[in-house]
Amino acid sequence: MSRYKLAIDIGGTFIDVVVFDLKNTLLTAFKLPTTPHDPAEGVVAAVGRLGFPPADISDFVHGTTLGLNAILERKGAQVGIITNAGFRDIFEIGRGAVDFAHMYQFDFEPPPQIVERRHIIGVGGRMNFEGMEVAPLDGEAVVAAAKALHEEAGCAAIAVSFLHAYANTAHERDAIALIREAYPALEVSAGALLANEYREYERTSTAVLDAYIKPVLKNYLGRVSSGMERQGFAGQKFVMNSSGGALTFDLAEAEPIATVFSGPAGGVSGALHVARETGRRNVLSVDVGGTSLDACLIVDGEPMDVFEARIENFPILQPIFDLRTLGAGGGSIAWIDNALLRVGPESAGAVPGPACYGRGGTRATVTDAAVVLGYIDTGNFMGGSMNVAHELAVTALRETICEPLGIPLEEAARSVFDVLISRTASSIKEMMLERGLDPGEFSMLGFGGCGPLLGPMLQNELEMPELVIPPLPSVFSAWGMLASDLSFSDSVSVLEAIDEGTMARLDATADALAKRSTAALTEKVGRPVEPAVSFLARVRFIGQEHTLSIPYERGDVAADFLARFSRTHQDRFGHTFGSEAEIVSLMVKLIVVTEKPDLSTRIAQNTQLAPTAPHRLFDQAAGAMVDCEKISRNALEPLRPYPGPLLVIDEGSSLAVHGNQTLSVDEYGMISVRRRDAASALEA
Amino acid sequence: MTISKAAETEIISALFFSAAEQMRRTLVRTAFNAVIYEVLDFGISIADASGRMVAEAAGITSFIGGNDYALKMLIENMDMASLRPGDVVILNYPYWNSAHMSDALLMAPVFVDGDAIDMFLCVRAHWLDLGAKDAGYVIDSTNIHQEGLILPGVRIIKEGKLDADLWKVLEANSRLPEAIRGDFGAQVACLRTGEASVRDIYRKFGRERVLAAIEAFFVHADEKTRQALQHLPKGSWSAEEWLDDDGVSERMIKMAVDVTITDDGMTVDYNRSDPMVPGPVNVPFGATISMAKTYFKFLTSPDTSSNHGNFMALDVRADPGNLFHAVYPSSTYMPWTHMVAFELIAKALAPVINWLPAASGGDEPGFMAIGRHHRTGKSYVISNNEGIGWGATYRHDGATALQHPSTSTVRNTPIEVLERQANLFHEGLELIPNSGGKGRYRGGLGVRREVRMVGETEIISMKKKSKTGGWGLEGGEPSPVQNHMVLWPGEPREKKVGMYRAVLKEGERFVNYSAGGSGWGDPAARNPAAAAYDVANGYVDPAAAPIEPVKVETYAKS
Repeated sequence: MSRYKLAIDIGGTFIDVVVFDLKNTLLTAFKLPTTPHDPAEGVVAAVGRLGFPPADISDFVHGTTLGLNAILERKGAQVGIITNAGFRDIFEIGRGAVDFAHMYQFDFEPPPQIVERRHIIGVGGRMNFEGMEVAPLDGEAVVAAAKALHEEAGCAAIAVSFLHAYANTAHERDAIALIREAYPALEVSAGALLANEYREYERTSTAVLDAYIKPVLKNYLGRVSSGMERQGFAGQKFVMNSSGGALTFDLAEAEPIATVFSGPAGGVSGALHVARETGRRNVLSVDVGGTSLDACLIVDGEPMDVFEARIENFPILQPIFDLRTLGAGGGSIAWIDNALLRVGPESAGAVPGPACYGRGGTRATVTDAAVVLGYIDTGNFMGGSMNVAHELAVTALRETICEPLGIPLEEAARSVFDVLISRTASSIKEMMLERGLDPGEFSMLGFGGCGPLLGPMLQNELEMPELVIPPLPSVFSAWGMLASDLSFSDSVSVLEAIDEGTMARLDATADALAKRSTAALTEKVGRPVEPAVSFLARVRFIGQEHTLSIPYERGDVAADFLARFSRTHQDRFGHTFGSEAEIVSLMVKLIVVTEKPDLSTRIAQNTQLAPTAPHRLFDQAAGAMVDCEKISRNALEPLRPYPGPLLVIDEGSSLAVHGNQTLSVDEYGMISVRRRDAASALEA
Repeated sequence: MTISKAAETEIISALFFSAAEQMRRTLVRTAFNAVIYEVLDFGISIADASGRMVAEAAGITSFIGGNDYALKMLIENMDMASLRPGDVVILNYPYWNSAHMSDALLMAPVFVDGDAIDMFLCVRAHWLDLGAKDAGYVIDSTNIHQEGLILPGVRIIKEGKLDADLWKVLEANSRLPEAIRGDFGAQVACLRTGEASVRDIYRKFGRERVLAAIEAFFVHADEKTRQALQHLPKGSWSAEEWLDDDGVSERMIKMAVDVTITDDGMTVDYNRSDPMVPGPVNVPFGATISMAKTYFKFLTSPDTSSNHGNFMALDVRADPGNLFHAVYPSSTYMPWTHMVAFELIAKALAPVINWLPAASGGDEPGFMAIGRHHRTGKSYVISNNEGIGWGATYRHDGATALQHPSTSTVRNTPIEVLERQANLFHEGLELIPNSGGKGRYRGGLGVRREVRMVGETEIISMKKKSKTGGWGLEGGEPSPVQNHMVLWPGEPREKKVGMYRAVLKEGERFVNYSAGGSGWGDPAARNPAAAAYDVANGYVDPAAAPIEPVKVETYAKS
């Protein structure tokens, strides 16, 4: 009988591995360096180091940035596009906008095209906005185009995208059937079948990127599978998708675009699990790594998601957690700009890394400042496996900050944090203000290698009542993957004004959609499933461009549904209208719940940390370096207050609690840091 | 606890920028009309007690510092001593404001603690209707009184309380009172957000440290700007361009600039341009200044946020009565002039600054459709901003089918949206082969869009640069394609037009053409691989007939 659930998350620097021993309810975690030349090799190597037979793994969940990297590094397949005759430049023309980062660069150089224009072929056929066929699809032209693109031009994948296909998918369905019949080995992606939404460029872009990474991801997942199977693995394989669900390898290979934000989604998935299990309704999830800080909001137990994201300037229409990259991470470089001290956006990355890593970095980073201020336990950094040199940090700060500005070491290190924290807190405030939310009503959940480092200072700056640090914060994204459920979603275009007739038809549509998608899921999983089914409708007032996602319940009547939409509109935008609204599309979400680690699951300790030791750190409350205790996380007793200042260390991270803060471990094993100097809105 | 000055200046600067950004998020979140939340047709800024811009949030690209002149004029013309905490002033008088009459500026003084004004907050946003003679756009007004209700800087909120009588006047003058009520509310919320943020900064640091930091980051921005100016050549250079016409006559209008760079700074002088004209293409001086500031920013500091210090070295000149300094009662409704004039500074300096781009397609050559939907019966007003080719530079080809540089972040309207909402059916949308000006690096390509009406609709072709082309650099050539629209193509009544209003019936067609960018360097020196790539991909078609210049009819009264 299989006994283990395995999650492997590949990030920029490390492969994070978390194993859940179902029988003994024990969690084990470790990190390995990435193998950039062949990421599959790293996964296979990690499986070889588990310490038990891979045959004992029942489920494997994988987080990979392979698809995203293939796009960013232009390492995808050669893609051809088949579209309507006369419209071959929809993809190149796009929306014609320069993104904000380049808005004042009037010598802007556009990035290279991802599809060469000669690989775009128009064919006869046209739908109108009502989904009525204006001209029939020219099937012969489709096959001829596929032949030209595949046989003559050497394209490995085809994206099919036709105008108004959201209103009637027939031409896209017919076209891919014809292409598959003629060329069974050729990869094909169709816009409206990936995203049944209007806006032709956005759909085309989604299909192109999907096609672009399909051969790459298929090859990769195939090698991961065979490498694991060679070692005896025979369990179920999943890839994390961008909205926190687990997709079977088959599904991920069929629609790889759903996996592009796989890694960060694992963290939000974990945050959601913690929020729901521990009764925290409003959570700000803050994932801080070496180069960036990614934030996502959970409001009233629901993660904020969006249906459109961007990779570079390419839109993708997919459900995705609304993750924002807001600030600099631990590797960000501090530098002098005339008379100003700035931090980031340049990062020392993994190589050379912060000066204190001793890998040749000479410029001061946030991590170096943390070492000087006692926020990182130099004796125990990365479980002692990476040698942190205090001297190197001091030298870097002295040479690049202290001397040019003429300030002492400790002031320089503090200033780095003052600048970083102030700016990051501002960005978080801006993100929350966009939705009319108040940080004072949220718990911050900090994770990632540097989440515990920045968390307490961000909490003070944002005047947030509580900071939560989950167990295994530095591999929390992988942990979150263990907490994800098997998920599948599908949608249909509706585009009807809301009235009783529409709602009656919607009920039938929902029924058919649920049946269709359950059958598809059953086929993909290879066993009967009984998923939890929920529906979301995309709704807007007529004339608006943007939509809101409104939960739809079977049998909803128009008045109730409209009221629900209007309330959401009021919350989101601060006003609502009395005018007519329409349903743009209906999405079904199927969830098959999996066995997850209980929050209080014991964690295996690889190294023995001394329970307590004397330490010295810079306390924000006292405004000075102070003596305090350094405590190992597993030595903390639950439900007992530990007033700051103190430093809590575990294998992957350090948490500096300041003099105005009190730490405790709650009944679920979460570290909770509260501010003593403020009344808590959460407790009111 | 002491904090190093280098850090404190950076922190306070970033906090003010964040305050402006928080104002922006509030406006975008709560605004009613899509011109604000989609097109970002707004300007948001925070200024110190003497009106110097401390921070701003990005709206349309060419709006940098757009509120500065308005605030200066309010300080000069209003009794500032009479302002009280909680007051909000409204202004749309174009000669003071930096924009046309549809743009309502709201200004709130911030009194942190006491009787003196500490800061000013400004938010200007495009309102859908303030009672101009025509709905939508006014393309042929000849004085300000045809362009809507004038609000010459008056208190609309007094000590936190809305002046209900004045508000009734506003609503009674608008065709869309619900929309302006919503947008006004969003702007007030934006000001209140800014006020809370500013108070927070003062509470955290105290007035003395805040003011010291402001001075320090002005000095920093000024120093950085002057450091960048040191790399520019010193001397005077000039350029001219032509605007098609003023909308009420056929005469082309001269726009000219003289740019002087010295060790002390840069002067941009528009005085050699034509005097004001009868039609609505005259430019408020505030808009002239922000147009120049935007190009100056590209030259000196494109990657940083803006404050007063970034522009201390810039002097913008246009005397009252010039095309670029409109005075009462001239008409100013059409903002196309400062789009077409936007690249004048580049044209003047390109011969001496090698990294400046050649001319873009030069205009925002879009269109508007107004009518009643043939299936739903609903009336609609919808527009599309068409992309143009951008100019090549000394190291790369120009970008293809992008929005005009002065509105670089605005997006075009999807075909599927145009076809759902209006009586339009697209027969084609493709790049125009050979439309990029030739060069060692070629210009970007323009766009051809062919549309058939599926029901009667009124079309406004919007272009103010269709009679003249662009300019290449170092032997590069201008795009052979001009911005224009062909109405009723292939029919005996076929007409080539620039700015034009026409009613098209079901089955009738138009084709919209946007210009490409101009080239850089000798076309013969083009990399053979790049040339072959262009041909293989159809960007260049050597077999195509040469593109003939078109003679456009620029205006006809309907």
